[in-house]
Amino acid sequence: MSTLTSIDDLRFGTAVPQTVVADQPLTDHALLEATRTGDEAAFAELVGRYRNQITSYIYRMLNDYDGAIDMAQETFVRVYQAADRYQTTYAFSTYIYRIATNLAISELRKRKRRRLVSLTGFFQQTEGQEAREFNPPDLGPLQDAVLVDTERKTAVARAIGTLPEKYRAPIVLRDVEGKSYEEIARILETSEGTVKSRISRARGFLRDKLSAYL
Amino acid sequence: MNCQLCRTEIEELELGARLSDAARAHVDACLPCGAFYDERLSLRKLVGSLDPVAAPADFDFRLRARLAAAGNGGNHRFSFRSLIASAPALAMAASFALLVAAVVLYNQFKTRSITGPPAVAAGEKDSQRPGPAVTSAVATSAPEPAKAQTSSPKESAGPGQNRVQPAGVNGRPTVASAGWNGRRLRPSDQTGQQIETHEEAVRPAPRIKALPGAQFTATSNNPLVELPVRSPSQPVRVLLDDRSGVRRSVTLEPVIFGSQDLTGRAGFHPVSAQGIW
Repeated sequence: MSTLTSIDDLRFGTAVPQTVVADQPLTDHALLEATRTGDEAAFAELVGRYRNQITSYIYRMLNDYDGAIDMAQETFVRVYQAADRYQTTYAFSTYIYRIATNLAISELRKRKRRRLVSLTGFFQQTEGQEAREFNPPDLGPLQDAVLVDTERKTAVARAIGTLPEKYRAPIVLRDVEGKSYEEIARILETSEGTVKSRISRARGFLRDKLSAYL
Repeated sequence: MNCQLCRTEIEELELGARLSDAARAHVDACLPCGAFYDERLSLRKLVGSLDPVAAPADFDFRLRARLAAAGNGGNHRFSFRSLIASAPALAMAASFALLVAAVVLYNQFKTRSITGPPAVAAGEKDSQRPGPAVTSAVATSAPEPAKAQTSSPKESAGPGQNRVQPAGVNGRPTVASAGWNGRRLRPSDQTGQQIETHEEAVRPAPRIKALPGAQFTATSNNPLVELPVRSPSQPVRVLLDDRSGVRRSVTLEPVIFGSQDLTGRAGFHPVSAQGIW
């Protein structure tokens, strides 16, 4: 009896079809095509490939881990339910990132309507206004480099969380996820020029907020 | 290379990639562009230093449960109980709307049961007849049955005038013949047939003309009979015989206007019988 070492060993069903465990890994398109025919193992393979990426991306968008998990799962649910309507015009990663982006932006707008009070909310600013620091960085000497690193990352995450939606998605996709301009343009369904402009603007905002760490 | 082109290349530079030779030379020579390059480079490293977040261990299980729930949600059937549980305000509003609709329907049904079948049927029935609906009319009068009643008993004291006796106690008040407009309809007590009025726009109301000293009759040549009706204080009953031999009783209820009401209906005694009807 084998021992389970990770969650990957507990994927959907115990019987993995031959198509998934073939020597040549199937492409995303092929896996989604198999999902369309009812192959749950193929969908599990897709989930395994993208769950961390999507969760991380949405987490950077929402700055909320539980909310990110919820939205990531909703993303996969949407992919599964719309498998029949999927068109292989673009890469599957573009497709799933687009769904995740739309869900994250919807959630951000929903939260804005609810007027949730959060710490990151103190960073909120409208375009053209000066950034207002809620938690100014501690410039004093820290005793542990780990603490410094944690503090810095927290500040960066908060700063990203204060960006307007239209700037947040491109900067995360570009500088955190490492996507190309072309792919970002496809995900956001806009032009490359707009993407470059927004990324430049977002970097300007971040530079002002993170000047203490630069 | 100018500063704008250099900064554009810096902005679009992939992380870890090197600048072109021309841009590199410009950055080395231009102090602001050099500072811009260092700033952007450190900023991208700072943002890129964020650790990726991993999905939780039970992500797949929760996703599977969610997919199952979504699949079951498609087969969810509507039930009023679930509606009440999920949206009590909506359920209350729906209940109130149902109650109002029930009251309106009840009132409509009640009104319909009083007025009988719709007037269109009677109108259609009458319109199929070749002649007028009323072929003869006889005003009932206790002392002189052949004379027409023209006024109420109190005002018919003069000699030579037709005396009118109000509607008898036997007859239930009103049976409207075809052509009466604006009269309230009540079921017939003689034939059991319910006769409805219809508007004059469909068919003009027959006029009843009093024939002095004799019974007045409407013939096919002269279908109109005229009955002078002068503001009786009590109902006037008219008997009508149609061609099929069916006798109908029409009771004309007195009309009281507001000015008369001001003087008091019980003690109202009109001085003149003309023009008040």
